Amino acid sequence: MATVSGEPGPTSNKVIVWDGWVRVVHWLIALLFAASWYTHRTNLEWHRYAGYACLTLVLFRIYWGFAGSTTARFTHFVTGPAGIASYARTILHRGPPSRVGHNPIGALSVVLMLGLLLTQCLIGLFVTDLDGLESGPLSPLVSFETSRSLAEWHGRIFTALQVVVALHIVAVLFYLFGKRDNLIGAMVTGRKRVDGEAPALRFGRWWHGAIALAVIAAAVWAVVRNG
Amino acid sequence: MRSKHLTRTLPVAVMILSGSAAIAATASQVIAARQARYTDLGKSFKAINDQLKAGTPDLAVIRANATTVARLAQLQHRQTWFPAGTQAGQGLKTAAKPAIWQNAADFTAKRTAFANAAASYGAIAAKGDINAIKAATASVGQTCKSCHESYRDRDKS
Repeated sequence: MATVSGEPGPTSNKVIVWDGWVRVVHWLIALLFAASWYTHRTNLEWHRYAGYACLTLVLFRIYWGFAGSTTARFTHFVTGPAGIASYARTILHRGPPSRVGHNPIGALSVVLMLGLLLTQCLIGLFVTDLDGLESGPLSPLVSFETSRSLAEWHGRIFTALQVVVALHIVAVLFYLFGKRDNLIGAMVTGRKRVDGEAPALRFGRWWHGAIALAVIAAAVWAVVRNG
Repeated sequence: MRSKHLTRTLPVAVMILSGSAAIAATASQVIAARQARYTDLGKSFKAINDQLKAGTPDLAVIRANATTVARLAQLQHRQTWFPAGTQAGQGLKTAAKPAIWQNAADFTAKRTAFANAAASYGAIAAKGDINAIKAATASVGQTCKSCHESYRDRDKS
């Protein structure tokens, strides 16, 4: 862990809050979600590859949530009901928040999206289409009936993901236009305007993330190839 | 004499009394029967594809299921699995689009294509060349997909 606490950004009151891994993984998962949606009826070969990539990134993000930078860690933003309740009382206040990172309610959607995406990707490995022609790499481990009922769950979880993603987008737009707090820009540049004293944040080293991602990608590839 | 007469007339009376109900039951029975056969086809294709994904495919499983595919493909070609009145709507649970009956000639051509592809499929499986079986599975599967694209309602299947 390297300490770059409160490193000043290009403008004096902007600090880095999101590391490169959080940002890249966020936008890649968003892209893969759209790609999986588009390919599920047009090209199941690509749909499978999108799923493997998404599974890899979600597993990496969960790992980074335990071993990564301060703002990436679950312990930094998962606050429990008391934290959610006290944050909810201040949600209509305008301007940048008093603390950086995911807010306690945003944390709910982070955990929910990662959980749903992980379940979705894992289930997808076992799915078979109606005709037994296209299937996930682990479908030989289960019967046609099980595989088909998992396919139905794959559809239901996708619907749940659509709802959560829609809520996520609405919430981010509410912060942008309602609260004048640009979360989208921060997720692109990693920088955020902070009032008062700069927060003490620790950032994971880039190669720590690179090694973890490589190990997870190799493990996922081994499972889908030999499963 | 009297009892003979009764056995002859009673079924007719029952049929007349329950006329419309009998027709409705027949349509849903036809649908259930064809869906069961398509499910069998799906199971057979999954069994074959499971083996093709395995490190050492079990040829006996592939052959048995390729035979099932060929047999069912012949049945769907010779028999009438899609009589008029068994399309989606009217409370019937089926993914069969009305286009099946509107483009009857094309639908028949696609069913014939499947039957033809499946007929040689059994023979290819019998030879036991895994790469040839893989190619044949893909081409038979393609005849399934090309028909389903036009005539199966994905949202109801």
